[in-house]
Amino acid sequence: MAKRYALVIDLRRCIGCTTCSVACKVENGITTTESWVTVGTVGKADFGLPGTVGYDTPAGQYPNVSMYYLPMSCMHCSDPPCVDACPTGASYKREDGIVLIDQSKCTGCGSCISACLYDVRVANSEKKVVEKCTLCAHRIDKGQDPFCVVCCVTKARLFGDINDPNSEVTKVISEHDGYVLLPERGTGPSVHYVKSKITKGYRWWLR
Amino acid sequence: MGEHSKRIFINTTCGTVAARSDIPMLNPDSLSHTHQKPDSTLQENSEKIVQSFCPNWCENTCRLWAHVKDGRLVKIEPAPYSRPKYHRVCLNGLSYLQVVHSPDRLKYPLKRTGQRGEGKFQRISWDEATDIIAKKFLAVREQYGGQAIAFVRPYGANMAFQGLSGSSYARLASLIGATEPFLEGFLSDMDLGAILSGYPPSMNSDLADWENSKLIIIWASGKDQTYWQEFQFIFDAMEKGAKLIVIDPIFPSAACKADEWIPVRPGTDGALALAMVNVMISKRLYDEEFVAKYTNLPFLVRKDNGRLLREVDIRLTGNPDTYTVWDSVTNSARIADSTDVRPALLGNYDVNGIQCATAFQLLSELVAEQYTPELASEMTGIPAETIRRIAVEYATRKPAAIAMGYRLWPYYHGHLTCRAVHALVALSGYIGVPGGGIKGPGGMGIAAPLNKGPTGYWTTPGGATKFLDARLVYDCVEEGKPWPIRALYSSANFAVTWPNRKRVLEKVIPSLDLVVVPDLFMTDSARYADIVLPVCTIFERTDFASSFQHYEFAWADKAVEPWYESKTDHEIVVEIAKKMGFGKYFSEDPETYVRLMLNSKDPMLEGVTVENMKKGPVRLNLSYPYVGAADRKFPTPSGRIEIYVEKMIEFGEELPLYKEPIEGARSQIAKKYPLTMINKKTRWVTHVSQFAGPIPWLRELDHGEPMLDINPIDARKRGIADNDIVSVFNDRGRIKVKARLNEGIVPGVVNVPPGHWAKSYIEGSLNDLTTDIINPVHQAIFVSNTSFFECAVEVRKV
Repeated sequence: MAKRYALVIDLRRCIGCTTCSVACKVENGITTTESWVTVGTVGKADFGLPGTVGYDTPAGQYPNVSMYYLPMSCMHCSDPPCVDACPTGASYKREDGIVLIDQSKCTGCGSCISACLYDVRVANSEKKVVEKCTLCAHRIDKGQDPFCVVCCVTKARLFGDINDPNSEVTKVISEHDGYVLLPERGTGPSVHYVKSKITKGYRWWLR
Repeated sequence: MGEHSKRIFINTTCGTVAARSDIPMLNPDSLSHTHQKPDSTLQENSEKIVQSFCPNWCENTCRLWAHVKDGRLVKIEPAPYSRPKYHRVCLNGLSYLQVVHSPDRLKYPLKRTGQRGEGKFQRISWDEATDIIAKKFLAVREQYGGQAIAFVRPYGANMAFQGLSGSSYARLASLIGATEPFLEGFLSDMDLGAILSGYPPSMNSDLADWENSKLIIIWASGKDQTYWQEFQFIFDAMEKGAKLIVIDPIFPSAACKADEWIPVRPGTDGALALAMVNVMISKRLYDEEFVAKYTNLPFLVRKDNGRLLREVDIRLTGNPDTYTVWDSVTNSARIADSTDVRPALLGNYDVNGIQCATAFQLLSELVAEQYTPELASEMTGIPAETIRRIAVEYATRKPAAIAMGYRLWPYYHGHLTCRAVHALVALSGYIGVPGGGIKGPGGMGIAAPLNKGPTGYWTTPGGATKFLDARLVYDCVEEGKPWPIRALYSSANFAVTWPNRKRVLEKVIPSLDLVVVPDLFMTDSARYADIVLPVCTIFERTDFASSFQHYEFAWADKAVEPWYESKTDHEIVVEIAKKMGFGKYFSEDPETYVRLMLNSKDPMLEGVTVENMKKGPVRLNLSYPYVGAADRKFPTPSGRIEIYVEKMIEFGEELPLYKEPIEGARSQIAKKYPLTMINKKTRWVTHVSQFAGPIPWLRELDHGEPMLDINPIDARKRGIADNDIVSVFNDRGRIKVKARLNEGIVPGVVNVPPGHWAKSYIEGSLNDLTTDIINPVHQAIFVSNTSFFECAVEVRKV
């Protein structure tokens, strides 16, 4: 069976430090303020970015409060709407499930940005192209883990092949009820999450 | 990424699930690790890979591989220590990539041309710069003595306070006979209680020992903002079933991972700890054997003068330094350390007509009277039943560990809070056992064995460094008391980090004859310097460093050439030393000097050599995981943990007490300024002396400005909404920042993060609001901790 590369992010272990975001910039040579990986606080805000009133700020009412951190990057969908939306064929999916953008074909029209359900594609205003997480395909092709996985401080990130029933990612997803974002939309994300721990004694936030 | 678009999937992502800590999660050990250099890309595109380490000094000192191409640093990645879990890095280490070749870095030595603080400078040569410094140093030394020159060793920003750089400064300071202000206290970095109890952070266990804990209490600690490397181990412990409790006035990241967050009124943690002591005593949940053998609580105390009863008090020929206990077998007072003695823990005794009680009896009476859970509840704002419950949990989930954090002690009576926590830990008996103890910042103090070598301070010929309570620098400069200080060599960013900034910038700095600032950037403090020196980062020098958290040494080879005319701290010291006539005490070759430093007889340093460090990480000669205080010998007069402290009798603090914060909610000043300001650090700097500002990746993350956290209850009263600009003020000063309404902060408390430069504020700078008051009790213990959180303020919408 063909490989299907995936990330598993254990939200119980994510403390919102944003090292993944900076690691991505180091590995991919991003010197501008664009981020392929963002970490938001799910709490007072739906997705409070660093430097805003929502970051590190819990939901609820004092003292019954809670929050968790949610790192977001390209979901590498099995049925990616961005690929369908791309008029030039720049966006494509590899056999191993990684969704990439052929920069030589990208005209920066932004159709894919509108099509993406997860808002993880970014326009590079200098190069006039769209960019996003490549799952560090260049590293994977050399047998290395994505750099955000290598650098994750709390080891909340795991990389592997979810078509392999014996891989660690597959086991973690099945043992810990791993979930994907917007499953009802049928995009089939490769990025899986393990739900955050809940602070006992305090009402969990449900909207 | 826009916030609006996230709403659509949040609905699906959070629901009620039970925590499943019984199931093993990710197994970090299974990740591939190697001591070999990473094989990626290097040969193919002429990259060279050099070993280095992170200079941010969160005490974990992650090793790094520096990738260099065409003379430029092009990538940083984590490098391994001898065990896989220590193979790590974080955003602060990674972002040095944007420091090393930052266009904002200082390029040349500068001489002030305008007024101090005006920021007008002209470029000069190194020869001229070191001439000016050496001549002035010599003149000051001639007129006032060497101690009139103060060296504030570069702390944090460039990690030049230890390793080769730090030792070079230390040696020059000792040759001059200069003053070294003890910065740790000044920046309120110190658990003063540990000095009295004899259980200092140098007895910390390895990080991996977290995993042996059944309960972890993170108590007012910024671990989640600074020492997050430790969370890998804390999460591993939780997977094995450990419970996590977080006690803090503000809901930190750690709290959202915890089983329970216990909000506490700032500065009242001591009352909580003493009420927990109360519960442990009344329910007899303390470790009787540990208390009897390893603490001074069974010692007899004379009721007439409060002093401990000595052998000489019961027998004329007895030893005046030997303590006594009441032996429950013979029903008599006997020497405490007799082998066959069975000390009574409680009770009042008549010893040859001298009325005595055991220290434990006195402690029991004190907590029974003054620190019941009900009374403590009034002080702390924590329900009495919660206090009872966590006391029982702490005593019964064996072993439990407490992580004490900086936010416990920047109060006038902060030392008492520390002592109360130490009493609690001593009663538990979780000391010297795996999974127990206090895990505070500070760690092993690897520098100690180094100092015994030939380059240590006290073996350096020509005089000795004078250590000073750093806060007294103000008095030394302004009034010449206890001695005059006329020259300051400092890169610890005094304009950002020192309390009562107005006094620093308007009185202290202007009174000096010479101010030298070595740094990487034109910091707020560099603007006040007469001479600014551009220094090299770790990637431009050879150095070595230790970690306080896992006891291994790391080596840094020079990776790239110095940025413009910048020099290493070692080179700067050597140049100044030569011009002052101390050249013969230094070697220009850094390696020669490191060899001298390591030439120590300390058995812990066995195998720690330049050759071995160059090959890879070298661990101190200690077992793994190292468990601190395993021999249960404590550096106190009695050799035991001392909860009853004779030397504190003169302050009425022989036992740990709780005293209200002097600017807390119940103080007089609170009528005028009803809010208490605390300072919870952000993730974007490791030390407040550092710089998120000049690093684009980090500036983007913190949006370059501090925000005020305020509970919506307090905000509503003042008509304040999110992102409103507010004025935060008291009699000392005023700042302007934006507000953030936060349900995770105790009502009556506001938070402004420390470490931003003045230009990041809409008006003022954080330390315009803080006090420089000294508690003489701190000085009697060691040196003063600054009371940063004794900061009553009012907030008003602008």
